[in-house]
Amino acid sequence: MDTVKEIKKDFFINMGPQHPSTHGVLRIVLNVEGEKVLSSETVLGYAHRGVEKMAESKTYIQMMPVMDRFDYVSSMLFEWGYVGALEKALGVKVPERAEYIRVIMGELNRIASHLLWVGAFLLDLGAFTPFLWVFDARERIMDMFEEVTGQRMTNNYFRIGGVKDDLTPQFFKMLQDFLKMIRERMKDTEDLIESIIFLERVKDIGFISKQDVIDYGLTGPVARGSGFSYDLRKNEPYSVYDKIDFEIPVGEKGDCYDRYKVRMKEVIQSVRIVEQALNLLPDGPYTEKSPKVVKLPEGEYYNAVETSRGLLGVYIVSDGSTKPARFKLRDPAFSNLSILDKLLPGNKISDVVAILGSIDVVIPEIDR
Amino acid sequence: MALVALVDNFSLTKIDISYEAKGFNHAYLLEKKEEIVDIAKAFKDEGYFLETITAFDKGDGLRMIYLFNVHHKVHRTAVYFDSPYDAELQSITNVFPSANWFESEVYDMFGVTFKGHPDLKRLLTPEGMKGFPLLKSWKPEEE
Repeated sequence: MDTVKEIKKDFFINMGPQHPSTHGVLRIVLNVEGEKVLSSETVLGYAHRGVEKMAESKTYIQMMPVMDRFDYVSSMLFEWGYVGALEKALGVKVPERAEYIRVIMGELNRIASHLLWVGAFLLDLGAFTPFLWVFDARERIMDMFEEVTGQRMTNNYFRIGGVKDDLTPQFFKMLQDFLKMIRERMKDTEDLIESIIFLERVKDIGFISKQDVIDYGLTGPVARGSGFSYDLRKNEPYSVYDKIDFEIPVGEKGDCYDRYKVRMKEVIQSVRIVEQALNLLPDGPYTEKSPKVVKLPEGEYYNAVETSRGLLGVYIVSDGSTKPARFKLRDPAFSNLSILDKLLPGNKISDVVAILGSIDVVIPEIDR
Repeated sequence: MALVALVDNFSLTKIDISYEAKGFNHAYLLEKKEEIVDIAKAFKDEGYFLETITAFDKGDGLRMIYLFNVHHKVHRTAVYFDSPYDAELQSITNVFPSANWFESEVYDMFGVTFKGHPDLKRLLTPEGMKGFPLLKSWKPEEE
């Protein structure tokens, strides 16, 4: 019996850096006792590329394609944050048609990002079929992007004062087909997903209280799942969002299920925005003539937009030259992930996957 | 304490900025940098959250930026203060747990340390990293 006593009951287990459910290279050191998590430590930096330093040796225009490579599943929303900061600094006015094109493309990108998340989340929980259902819909969005921007991901589509190309007739046709099928597809997918097994796995775990949202600076669907109706598109309307009617879905309890539900409802709201923007889309130029050499006046510039994961802030300090003196991203997933170590203790290992999945992280965005 | 009283109670100077140009709604320059903990408390009492902590290298020292924001109105507020290189600043992790990673990142990139931080470590850069990469004086290691 003495030998048995000496065996330690708790031990450490590495989840990641290479693990299918961490979606990238994230390492979580779990201290477990059997199946139960006692404590955890999130280790970042496996995808750190030093982009903030690199930006200091690149011109403003050279940084544009780099903006796609943070959050590669909703890359145009990151481009939006960056060109928005440059436009603020240069005082460029964006033509109205370009604003509506941005809204359409941005919302499609948000839908694509949420669909990818739903598929991957269910895949983590062991359900394979929903992944195929949402990817069929997402694939149509990717095809639309390819039609207009030439790229499926990392689109490099936004320009100072507008967008790179106008929307094509083929794009409108594809968009109409997409809008016809997406609501029914979302309903079917929800019916398919919400079986008793799924509900048992995501309900009443990973609670995030309203106080946590303030303590940890959470934004996006994670904050809205806990009942905060905070969305920059409504709270600090940029572009033409103030002319469009949409709702901000919020959860009640702040568990994993609420965060899932918020994202599913946001897809429908984004569809509504796209439909309205399509009706409101005016004729006119799709871009201002943008300067060949971009020099920002000396000063500091900050621009915040709502990406599919929350509040993105792009902060640029300019010394008046063609390169930024300091380039900093306040990225949403970095703050959202910081609450993970508080959420995990007390849960089972299989719930770790559900809780991490419900936060929705993209690692290159966090590590920068 | 209402935020209006901030300027009276702390060594803050209001910086005049227009929202359109800068992106912050309000900005203050703080003279005594140890007051940042009490300022963070004042913001938290009003329901603000910490949007980010960052810094930049001015050439003769660092300028720290603490960015506070609130959910129910457009009121993004920046608090600046100047700090020498290698300084030891007061950590605000007791007020805002989110400051944990923000302060670690600032330490990782700029080399300032934070007194009272529970686990100050190099957050993003690899093990064995020398120097602090976002300082202007930093040069990559020769192979």
